[in-house]
Amino acid sequence: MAEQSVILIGAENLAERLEAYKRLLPAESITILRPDGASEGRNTFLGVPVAHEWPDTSSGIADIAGDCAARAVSARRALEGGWRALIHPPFGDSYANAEAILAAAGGAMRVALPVHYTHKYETAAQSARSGIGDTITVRNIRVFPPAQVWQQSTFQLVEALYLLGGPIQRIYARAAALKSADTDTVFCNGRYENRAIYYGEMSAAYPSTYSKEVIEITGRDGMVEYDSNARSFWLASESGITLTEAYHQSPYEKMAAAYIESWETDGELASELPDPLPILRAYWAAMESIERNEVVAI
Amino acid sequence: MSATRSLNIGAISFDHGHQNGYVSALLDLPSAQLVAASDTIPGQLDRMHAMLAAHPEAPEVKVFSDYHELLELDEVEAVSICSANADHAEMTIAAAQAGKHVLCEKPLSITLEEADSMIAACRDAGVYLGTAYPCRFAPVAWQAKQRVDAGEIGDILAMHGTNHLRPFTEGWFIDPQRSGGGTIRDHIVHVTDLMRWFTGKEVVEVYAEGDTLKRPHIAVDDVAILVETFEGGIIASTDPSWNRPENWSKWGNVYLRLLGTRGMIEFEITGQALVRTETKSGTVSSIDTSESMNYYLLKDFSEAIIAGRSPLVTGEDGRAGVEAILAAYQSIEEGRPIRLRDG
Repeated sequence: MAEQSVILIGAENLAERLEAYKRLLPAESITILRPDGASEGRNTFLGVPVAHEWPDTSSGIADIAGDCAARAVSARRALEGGWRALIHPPFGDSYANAEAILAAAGGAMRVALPVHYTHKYETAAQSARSGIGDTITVRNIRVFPPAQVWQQSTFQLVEALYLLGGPIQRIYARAAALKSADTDTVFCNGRYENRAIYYGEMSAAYPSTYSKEVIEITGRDGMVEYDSNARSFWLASESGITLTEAYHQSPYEKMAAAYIESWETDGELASELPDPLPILRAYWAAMESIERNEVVAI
Repeated sequence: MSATRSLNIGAISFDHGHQNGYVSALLDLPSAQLVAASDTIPGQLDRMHAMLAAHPEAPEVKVFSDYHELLELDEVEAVSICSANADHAEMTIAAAQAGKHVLCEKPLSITLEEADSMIAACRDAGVYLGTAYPCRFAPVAWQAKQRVDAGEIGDILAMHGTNHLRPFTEGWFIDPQRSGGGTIRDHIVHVTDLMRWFTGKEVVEVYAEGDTLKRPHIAVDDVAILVETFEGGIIASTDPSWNRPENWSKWGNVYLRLLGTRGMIEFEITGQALVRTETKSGTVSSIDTSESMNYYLLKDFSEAIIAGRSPLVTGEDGRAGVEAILAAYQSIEEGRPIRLRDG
């Protein structure tokens, strides 16, 4: 992998994102940027320098998370400086806005879709294509103690539903602020384009001693089931039961490597990356459904 | 309260296999005994006869093909009705008019008008109407309810429940004229009733997706997912699908997860419950029992009748289940959330 300069913006999952790049690139090529003008605070984080001004370098990759409203601003700044931007969704203030931001950036911007690079979700999606017949229902549940990265998690719920079942046709979503001032719980259900039904639940309102993750795809001829109370996937198909080990592996290294490689090959591999537009569309449809308490067709 | 006498019960119709479970419970229950049974299909009584033959203290049970003859027996004080859903109203009203108390299988009826007629008929005849929601009587659910009532997890904020099944429903279950619907009709009532029972709140709004996808050849829905709102803004969801594979390790499940202001609880009616409360040490405790819920359902029903009080699960509880079913089907048809009441 060619030497790249990388700047990381935004606090959420910063340690995990940083470790991913440290495994891919020389440590001296990585900088954490606080572009909010703050001049106080630590100068290093996990051994990596923290800068408060954009570097002079005219090429590199900006990995942009942080405040949702500021992501598009940071991305524009990066692109204007000749950088490439890996932007963590959601960004912009609507689907149309997000689509326009992406279109304007051309191939210089990629959207971070970590669920697509998460072992358990990749395994579930692959297993569902091998012996359970046409998908008929999908359930994805992720409930855990209060966390800070709420809005991004809602996006990742939609991303997971898309990965597990395909293009979403319509969505009904409810949100609640159960244990915080902001939304900390989302329930949604709806249909895929192939008529299959899905359910998604994300809550950051559970006690500190509890978390649960369910990944379930049922098909006409079987089902794939992962419950975090158990270690293994159950794949029940006409040929019998198969147990597949489920383990946690940070998705960020795999994701960052895929995106960097796609840029290094001048876009040759870009077509192999997941398409963010249908997921962004479904996410903003969920937001619209929550606001209007209506089903939103996509 | 211990029973001071035994309630004589007649079993009307074995269309629904749950009747065999109730007969089995009656054979061991001090407060009730089976005295008569009826079914238009003789073969459907075979399992009951086998249970009676195998039980050392089995009572003598009079058998009829016409339930009206059973209702004419003076010694029958109450009946357990497990017919196809479409016959619940007619049989319940006939039983009430004959002066018999009624335990009616879920769902109580096809329509709300039928449910209202059944409730009115029992009230007018001075007999009690109970709805057979056995899940409330699963010891794990019962004990979880006691702990919720004691305030261990605080006020309930959110709920998720499932009632899955392998796709083995046949016969009248998949005949829409006899059942009134598929997995939504058959399954959301258990979860909805548990949610109503735990919260003491009614369903305010329902959005449902449902279809026939597991077995496309059948005439009723077999997969569905509901997102519901209960009074007080409690957010909930239910997956009642008949979507488990043939080789799944269990017949199905009834699972409930409740999030409260101070903790959470989750249980599956055939297994264990975990209670987690929000303390500095994050207290975790468990309830582990799998005794027969049918036994306790019949125990409550018979002891209530003997004591002259309403059974725990009433006709009105059954009606609330029917209301949720109809809202779900309306939501699917109209593609929008259905508002049932303010809340």
